[in-house]
Amino acid sequence: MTDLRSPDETPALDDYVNAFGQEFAAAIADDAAAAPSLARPAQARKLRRRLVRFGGIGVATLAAVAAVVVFLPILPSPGQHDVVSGARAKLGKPGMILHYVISTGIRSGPSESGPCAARQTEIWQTTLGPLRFRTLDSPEDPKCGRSMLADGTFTRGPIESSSEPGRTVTYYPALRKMLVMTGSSGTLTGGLPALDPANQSGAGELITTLRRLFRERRLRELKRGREGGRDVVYLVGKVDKAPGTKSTFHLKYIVDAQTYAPVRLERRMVTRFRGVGYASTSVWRFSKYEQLPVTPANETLLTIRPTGPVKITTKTLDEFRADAERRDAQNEANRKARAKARTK
Amino acid sequence: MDLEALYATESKTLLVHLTHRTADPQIALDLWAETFAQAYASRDSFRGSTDAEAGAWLHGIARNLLAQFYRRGTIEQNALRKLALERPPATPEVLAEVEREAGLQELRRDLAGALSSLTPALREAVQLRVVDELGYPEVAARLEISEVSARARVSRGLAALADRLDGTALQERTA
Repeated sequence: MTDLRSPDETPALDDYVNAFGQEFAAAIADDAAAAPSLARPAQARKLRRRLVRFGGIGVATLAAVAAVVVFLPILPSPGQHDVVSGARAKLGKPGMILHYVISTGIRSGPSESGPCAARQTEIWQTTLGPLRFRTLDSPEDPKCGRSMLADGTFTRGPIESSSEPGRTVTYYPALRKMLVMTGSSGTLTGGLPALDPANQSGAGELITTLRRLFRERRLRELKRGREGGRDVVYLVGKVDKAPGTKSTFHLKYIVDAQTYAPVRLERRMVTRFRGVGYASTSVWRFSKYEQLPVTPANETLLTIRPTGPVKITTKTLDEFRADAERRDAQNEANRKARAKARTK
Repeated sequence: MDLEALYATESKTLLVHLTHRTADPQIALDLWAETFAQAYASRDSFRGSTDAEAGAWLHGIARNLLAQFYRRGTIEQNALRKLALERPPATPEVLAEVEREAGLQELRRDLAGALSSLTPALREAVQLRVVDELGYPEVAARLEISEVSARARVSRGLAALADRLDGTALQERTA
């Protein structure tokens, strides 16, 4: 968008108008990219006629943006190709272990939500091939983070979990309890941050989902800028109605301009409830990101190794599910009993 | 329809105009953002060919939204939602600059003078919100009504005042 800064003494307002103008331009470019390109031939002809008739720079620019977006999967510009390829490669080559630290927050308005929504997770995970990972998940405020264990008891504080095909381990250091679940057909990814809210236990896992979006060429370079003293590139994309939901989400993936390492990922989601739309933004900030070679020493990073005595409970996935169902039924019965007692 | 050029030439003018018509920078910003989103959504309906016609068309969309706001006391942001677009939160500096650009202090003085023509219920609501600059929750508490009713009452009051305070502005802009 054109810089609207004028000699008038309204720099904050001019910046605001410019910022919204950029968001608006990106949104309509996204929308144009999402629309079927052959669905509105009359409009395309009309646009072409106007381009010829006016030759206006503004029209040409808008049309060029739309064209780049629509055809990006086929004909990326050289600069975009470099960034998109680099950022994609940075998410993992075969035979590597990714090690990264993420802070998670949620923003439903101008400010981020309270400290209990903020978590920090340190993650080690394999790239490509069968997914194996270990996470150390800590609430940023130690008073938060109340979690229910698979056996129905509660704990606070950090939780360590690891998963590989057929075996998932959850360790609660404060209780010195370890729950081992066997019998799942694949790797359960519930311990990993998930980008796709409709698929928490599957492909919603952050890195896998980003990699898929790159593969489907749904992320494109929007602009370059500076954040935290370094040059960054903003990649944006839109994912229509996640399967099983009525939500559309917009992604802003910010990577380091030199190394292409992730800096921040934002998922803005608009959900509709009783005809009213609600927008919230989940933010994942990467404070550390490195790729490690798979060596015997680094392999140990993928498993939990508590020191000292630990109480270990091992059950199959079906047994855990049956326990959970029994517990839910008991809670429901208790709730009904309490309600009945209140009415007497 | 060159929306980029339209935004560049009309965005600030439209914002100032909406602020003048609502006496509330926050509401004006909501209407302003929705106006551009609706312009994009209904771009196929534009039949003109000149910049002036595009400007008039845009202000026509704003006028319809303003009329809806006056009628309902709320701003539907359907077009923004379809684009998954939100206007950024405005800082106090931005709001102050919008107010200054729109000459809102002067407008508030005029409003105070014109309030006597309103019914007591509307007068009190507009007085509290626009002249005394209380937030809607406080207006609602003072009037002992819900916040939704407070918004509706303020918007109806502003609608009643709008023509006599700024009767020619919209016609000039959309002519």
